[in-house]
Amino acid sequence: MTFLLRLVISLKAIGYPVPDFEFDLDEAAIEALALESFKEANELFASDAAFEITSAKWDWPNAPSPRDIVDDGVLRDSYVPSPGRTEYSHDWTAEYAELVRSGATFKADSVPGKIWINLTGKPEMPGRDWTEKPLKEFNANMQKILDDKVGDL
Amino acid sequence: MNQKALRLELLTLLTDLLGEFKRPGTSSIPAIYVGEPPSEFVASGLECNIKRLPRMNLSPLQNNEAELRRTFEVRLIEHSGTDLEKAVLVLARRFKDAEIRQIDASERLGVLSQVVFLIQ
Repeated sequence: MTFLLRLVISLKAIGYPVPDFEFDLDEAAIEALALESFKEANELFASDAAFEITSAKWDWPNAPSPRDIVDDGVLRDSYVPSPGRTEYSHDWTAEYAELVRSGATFKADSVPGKIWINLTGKPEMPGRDWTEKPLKEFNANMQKILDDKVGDL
Repeated sequence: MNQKALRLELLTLLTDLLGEFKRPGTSSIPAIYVGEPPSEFVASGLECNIKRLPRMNLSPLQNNEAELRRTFEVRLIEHSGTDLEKAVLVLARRFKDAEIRQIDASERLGVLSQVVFLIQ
């Protein structure tokens, strides 16, 4: 059983931003710019997500806190991008990826349950959502990339 | 919507599916709670937990206005029984735009089956 994490960012779902002014370009050229911007925005998302994992910003019940989300590097190194034309998948294939991102409740009599009860009194691990901030910023980043490309023409 | 209203709505939606919190020296209550339930509460069946602090996102609008969006995190945890899937269907019908995150039970990792709804 694995809890690999797959995030799919779809160009259609995010509204396919198009610059709001008259320009003497054919539709194919505009589409090409949007697709290029979509790809670059996803690459930026991946880089920002990796930064979130390695940032010492996450509260933790014992020292050091705040801390990063790196123990042995397995989660960080499990990232696999799958670029597509209008959909881009971001996978974290570590078996506990979703547990770390969303947090989890363990059985009280399990090993991790007992560890967490020792630390906090509850068999619960808090979530550390390294994708939240990069996702929030995705649309604005893509708009900026697209605006810069149009500005370069 | 606030946490109290959300809790009331979830209690109504899940009324036949929720398990209970056993409390020492007093009667059991439905297993739904906003924030951290007291450590002496013991859950059985399906538990519904609403995180006390929602995720908050401030978006700038025109005319120096801004919009504060709150996203509530609701976790359904299956301590025993098989009501989790039914509960997920009930909530998915009501909160059609929610993001759903699924964690399956694992003996090896000691984790219970649970589903997280992120509800705006």
